[in-house]
Amino acid sequence: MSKLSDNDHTPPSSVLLMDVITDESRIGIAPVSEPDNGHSDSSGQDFEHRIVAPGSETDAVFQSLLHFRGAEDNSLMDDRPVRTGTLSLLQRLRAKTYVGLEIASRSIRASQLRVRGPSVEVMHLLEEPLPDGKEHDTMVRGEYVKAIGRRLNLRDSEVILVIGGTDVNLRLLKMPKVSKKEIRDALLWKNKKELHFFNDAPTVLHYVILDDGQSHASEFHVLVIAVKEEVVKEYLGVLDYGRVRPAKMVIKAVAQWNAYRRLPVAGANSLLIDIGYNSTHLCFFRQDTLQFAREIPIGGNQFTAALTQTIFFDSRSFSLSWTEAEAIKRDMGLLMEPVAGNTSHGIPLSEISVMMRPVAERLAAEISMSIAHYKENFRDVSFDRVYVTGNSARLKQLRAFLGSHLGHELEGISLAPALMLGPQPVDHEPPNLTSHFNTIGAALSAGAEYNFLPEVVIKDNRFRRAVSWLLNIGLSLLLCLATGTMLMLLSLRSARTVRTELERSLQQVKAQSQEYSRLVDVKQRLAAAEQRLALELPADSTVSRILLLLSNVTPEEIALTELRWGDSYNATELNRQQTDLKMRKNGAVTDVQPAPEALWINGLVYQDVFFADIYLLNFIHALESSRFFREVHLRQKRREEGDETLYFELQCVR
Amino acid sequence: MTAQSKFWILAACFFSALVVWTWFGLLSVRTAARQTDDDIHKIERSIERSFAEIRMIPDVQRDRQRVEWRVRNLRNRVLAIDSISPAMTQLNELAQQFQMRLRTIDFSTDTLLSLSRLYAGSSESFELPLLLEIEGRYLDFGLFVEGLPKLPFAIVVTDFRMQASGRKNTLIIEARAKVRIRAPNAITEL
Repeated sequence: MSKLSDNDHTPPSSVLLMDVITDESRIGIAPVSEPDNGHSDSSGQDFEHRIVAPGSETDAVFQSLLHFRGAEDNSLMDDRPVRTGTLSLLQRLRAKTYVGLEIASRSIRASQLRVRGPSVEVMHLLEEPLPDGKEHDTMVRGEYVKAIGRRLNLRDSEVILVIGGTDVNLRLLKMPKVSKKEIRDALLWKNKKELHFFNDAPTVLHYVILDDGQSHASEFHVLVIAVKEEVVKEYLGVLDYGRVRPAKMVIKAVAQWNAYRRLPVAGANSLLIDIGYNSTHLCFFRQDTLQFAREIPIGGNQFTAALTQTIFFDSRSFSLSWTEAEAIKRDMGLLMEPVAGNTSHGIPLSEISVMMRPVAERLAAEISMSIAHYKENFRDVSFDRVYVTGNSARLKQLRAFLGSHLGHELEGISLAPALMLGPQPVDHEPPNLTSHFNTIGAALSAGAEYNFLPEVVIKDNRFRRAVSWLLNIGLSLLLCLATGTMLMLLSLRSARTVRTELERSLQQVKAQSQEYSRLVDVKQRLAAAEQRLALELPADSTVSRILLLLSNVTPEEIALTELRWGDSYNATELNRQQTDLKMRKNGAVTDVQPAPEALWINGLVYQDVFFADIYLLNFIHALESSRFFREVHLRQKRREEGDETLYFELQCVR
Repeated sequence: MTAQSKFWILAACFFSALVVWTWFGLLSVRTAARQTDDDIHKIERSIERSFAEIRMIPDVQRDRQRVEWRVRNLRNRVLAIDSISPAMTQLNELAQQFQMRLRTIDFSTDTLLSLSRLYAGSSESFELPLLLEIEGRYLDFGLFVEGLPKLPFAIVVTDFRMQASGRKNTLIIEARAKVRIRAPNAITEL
């Protein structure tokens, strides 16, 4: 028999009492007093974080966390093979990273998932056991959160926090059909009237109208989630210490709902019983819709606590320490039938059974009541399967006991088919996804519904996201501009180098091409000189052409007596022009025009007097037809007396 | 002023600075780059033109030689003052070749002297009018006139008067011709 010592784990100084209100519209759970663990402050705590494969930790603290390990029902361990592998590179680029974070009673769990559509890759599964006595210390929890945050590199991840506890209330209300505007007022009034913490402190209220065809025409069911603002602030305080900014805060039921929706079993009407350390959580699913949830303040530690109560037997009293009670619970499990024998402490096993049985019966009764309430509200719906999860569900015989009480077989639930396990989780043992059911479910929640973060935090998040986007855009722009500028400067520099080289080449080439310019200049001057000389030295063949023409066109009957060409020998014409000029001055009009170039022909027709005129006419016509002369004028024609010869004088103007 | 307002003001300033940078920084660099590209194209065109000119140098040299040869030939047809007598002899020989009798060749010595003085030392030449009196037949005169360009000096008949002579079948032809005389001490251009 060991005695309690200061360093031992001590049971909670008080237990949770249930106040179950079972009217048809309300199921509530009210703590009479908060559990005060009274655990001594363990000195020399280290905040070293460790990555643990759930269920494989050998550390003493972690052993105490996994308090059912000795007698655990291993059939509940989620040791089904998980698909290993990662998302493809393309999926990774487009995937978003989520971290589900749960600050539980004895530990802090985190799951980091990479989600792209239906593909989910588990990047990290972390569980940090909190030191004894420091489970509610905000600073200590904050430090652990900070350590987890550093390990998971939360900068690129959205953190979704799972909250639970007795100050989180999920109720199914049957209400008369009112407008959506009136619902909120009605719910506020109803909660104020019926919810235990509503009068004490401000509460965050979310509700969902369940339009499932089960309600009457005049009324509907409303799923109301109420969370005490103080709880939200407490969690935010822890995260603030841990320098983690949550993107979302969901209740445990919603997280479990998210995880459930990913499973192949989703679609049936199911009940999920999550038996935790401090409490048991029930979720009722219809198809893949969360219909109802309830938290029962009975968990694994209640069995241990029951064993730490003083046991009277055979005029002796036994008082077990928390560690001893935990060890007995692990070894023996839930003893429902009287069993012969004693423990190593000398306590009969029948007494152990007597101490533990009421807790199990209370748990079974609470679950039965919840089922009854659910069935009462959803008369046409029955759940087909009952799943059980949670570390405390591994208490030996508990599953069978609950199954017999509820009349349903309790099945384990596995997340393995919905996930791919990345290479990050270390340790050699396979990860136990059961412990991370809530955190994985929270990380899978991507929607904005059921977010219990205060509006100011949401706005702040939105603002920070906008700032981040803006900074990213700005930095990207800056990078682009800097790159563009650098490239342009490089291009400019290169172009200037090319220009310099080309200019040098041009200088060399121009030196050679100057010879061309000089030659062209000389040629032009020569051409000009040639032109000038050609003008100065005309090869005028006009005279020979005249002679040749006359030789050709002069008939035999005509003899030419005189030819004059050129000004020098046109004395007659010059005289005539002078005479004309004088006559013009005197007012007389003459038809003689000065001829610049003219051939004067004097001749005679000496044969065949009768046709002499015709010969002359033919001669003139021949001269005109030659087109050598522009005009041919007959200036004079006479016949000498006594001589019938015809004399003529022609002027052929060129 | 709230922190968010300050942030948005800072963001606006930042993006304004970006715009200014883009406008003045990038634009000036771009303008300089474009200017450099234009310069490069111009220089390339100049180089191509120069290369084309270099390729054309042999052709131009040949052309220059041809023109130079023609100019030299033309210039050789200009009579030097001291070549007038041999030239007239050649003219007489041409007339005799076509059975023409060159009875007189007359030109004014005064005119020759005055023109020589006038054009002395210049690059020009001057015309000297000649008066020719030829006796011969019509066809021979035509052949004589046609043969004038074959003489090594330039002579052209500008006027003529043709009359029958007293002798049978002959004509008396008075012709005025011009010959080109090189000015004394003429400056050769080429």
